[in-house]
Amino acid sequence: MSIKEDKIKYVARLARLKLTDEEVALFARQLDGILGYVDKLNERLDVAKDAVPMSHPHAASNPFREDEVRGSASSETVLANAPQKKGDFFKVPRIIEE
Amino acid sequence: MENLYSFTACELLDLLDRKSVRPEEIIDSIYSRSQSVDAKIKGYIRLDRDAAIGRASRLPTSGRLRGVPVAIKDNICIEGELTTCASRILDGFKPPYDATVIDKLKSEGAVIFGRANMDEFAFGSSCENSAYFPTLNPWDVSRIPGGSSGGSAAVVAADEAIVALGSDTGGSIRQPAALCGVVGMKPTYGRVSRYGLIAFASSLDQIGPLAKDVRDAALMLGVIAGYDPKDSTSVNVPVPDYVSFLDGNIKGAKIGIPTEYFVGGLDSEVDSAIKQAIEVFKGKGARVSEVSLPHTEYAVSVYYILATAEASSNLARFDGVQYGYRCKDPVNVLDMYERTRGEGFGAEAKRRIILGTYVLSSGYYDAYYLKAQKVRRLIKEDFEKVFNAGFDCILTPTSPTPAFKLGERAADPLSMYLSDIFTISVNLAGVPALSLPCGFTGSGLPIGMQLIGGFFEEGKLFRMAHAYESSTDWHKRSPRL
Repeated sequence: MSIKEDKIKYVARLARLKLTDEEVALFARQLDGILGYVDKLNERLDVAKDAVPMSHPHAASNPFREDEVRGSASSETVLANAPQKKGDFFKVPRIIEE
Repeated sequence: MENLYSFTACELLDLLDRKSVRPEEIIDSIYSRSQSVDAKIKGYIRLDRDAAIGRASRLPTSGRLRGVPVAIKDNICIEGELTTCASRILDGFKPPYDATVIDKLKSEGAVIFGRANMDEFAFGSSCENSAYFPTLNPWDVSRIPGGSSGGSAAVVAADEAIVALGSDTGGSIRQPAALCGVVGMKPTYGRVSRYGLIAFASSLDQIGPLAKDVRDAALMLGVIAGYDPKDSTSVNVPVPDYVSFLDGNIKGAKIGIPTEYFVGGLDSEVDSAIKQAIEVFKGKGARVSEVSLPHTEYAVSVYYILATAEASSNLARFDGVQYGYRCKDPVNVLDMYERTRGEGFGAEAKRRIILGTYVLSSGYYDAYYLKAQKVRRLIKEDFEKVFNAGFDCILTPTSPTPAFKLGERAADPLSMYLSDIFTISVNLAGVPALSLPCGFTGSGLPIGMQLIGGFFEEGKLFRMAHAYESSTDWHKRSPRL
């Protein structure tokens, strides 16, 4: 599968990532090469058709713990790294248009 | 005492025990060492002597690392101290909590000293993707130190640190350890808590030590390992005393040599160093035979699908809202997200976000992501078959070549990705592996060998590595700086 510039732009939009025209052209070229290599997987589709997909090295089980009340960070601590804040809130540009 | 910086942690602990040195003297020694050599190596992003001296004066009264300075890769959170993953997007970020490994180090009396450089978000094999500057190889400053924990490996190799922590997602501890001539251990997935490690690929990441010798690496892993309720993927298996494995007795141990790792592209000097190492093991009574890991050829493909997919999800949190960089004067929230991320991430991070988002996107998920997850299973089963057949470890080169030149692979991401060809399978399977020095090229560059073990068999790896190390003196060589 080859990847074209319009696809790069589409994916960048999905990822909320602004790219310059130069980056779009560069990534299209580079990802084409990388995907060409990765497509080795698909050349031998039979290799893994019956394998169980693996998302994690260990068998997953839910690690339950006691539901105990513990302290948590103060809002002052949590907001300390905010690029912009107002009172007890993170401040962001308007989300709902008027 | 002279040149304390050149000692190992175990040697320093002995001196500290006998009150022959004070922790502050050790800090001063490595600080002045780094003042004289780090301008050449650039292994540290941040170094604060006074803060370290302050910490050294407030140590707990006892602890397994009491008074030992430890350098920390810049993707491990330290409360109240800049932690940036060598990325512009985490500009100014001071974590509100300590990573579990930092907590453990502090309570055992280690002194956190210096932030080691890395490829941005651990994306890379050369340390050239740092937003600050590239780190250089102490053995030849025209070459890269490996990556992504290149800073951690370089500062240990250059005697600017006694020991260091790194993280390993596809080889990021072992490959720089090999290229810089130090010992590096990637533990079993789940052996060490990832709480406070800024995530790259959550099903692959592990924190581990980089050290001057096997004993220090064993000591360090014993301190940082263990179940952590704050990391649901950490595994509740008792932590053995890894140092007690260093008994030199490997008579009858079974070592597998995977034929798939000795193919085209392997540097001839690396190949011959590994062959000589095999002879050393035989001489110590180990039984060596060929094994097969038949799905090795798919590992890089599987990895760059799964690791980028996970990375693209993990990096979604960097949006300019809660911490780090935010673009100037966004016109609306979408503009804020897109420009913050476009301006804040470096080229490799963007490339991986695009690739990861692409392989997860509608229409491609089955062909790439699901397929890769299936082949991952086969890669894991390859290892299980070998260990179930009674092998104690698998021996391979760590990296197909010694350190390459700065800039040599920077323009060709695929050639960079292929430098991890021998280390990636280990992360996909989740098994532990370490790299240790096993020779030098004719031009004086270190060569590393990788020992891979079964799940939670780090102790065996340390035993094997220590037995080899005791018969050789590669680990005692230091770069001329």
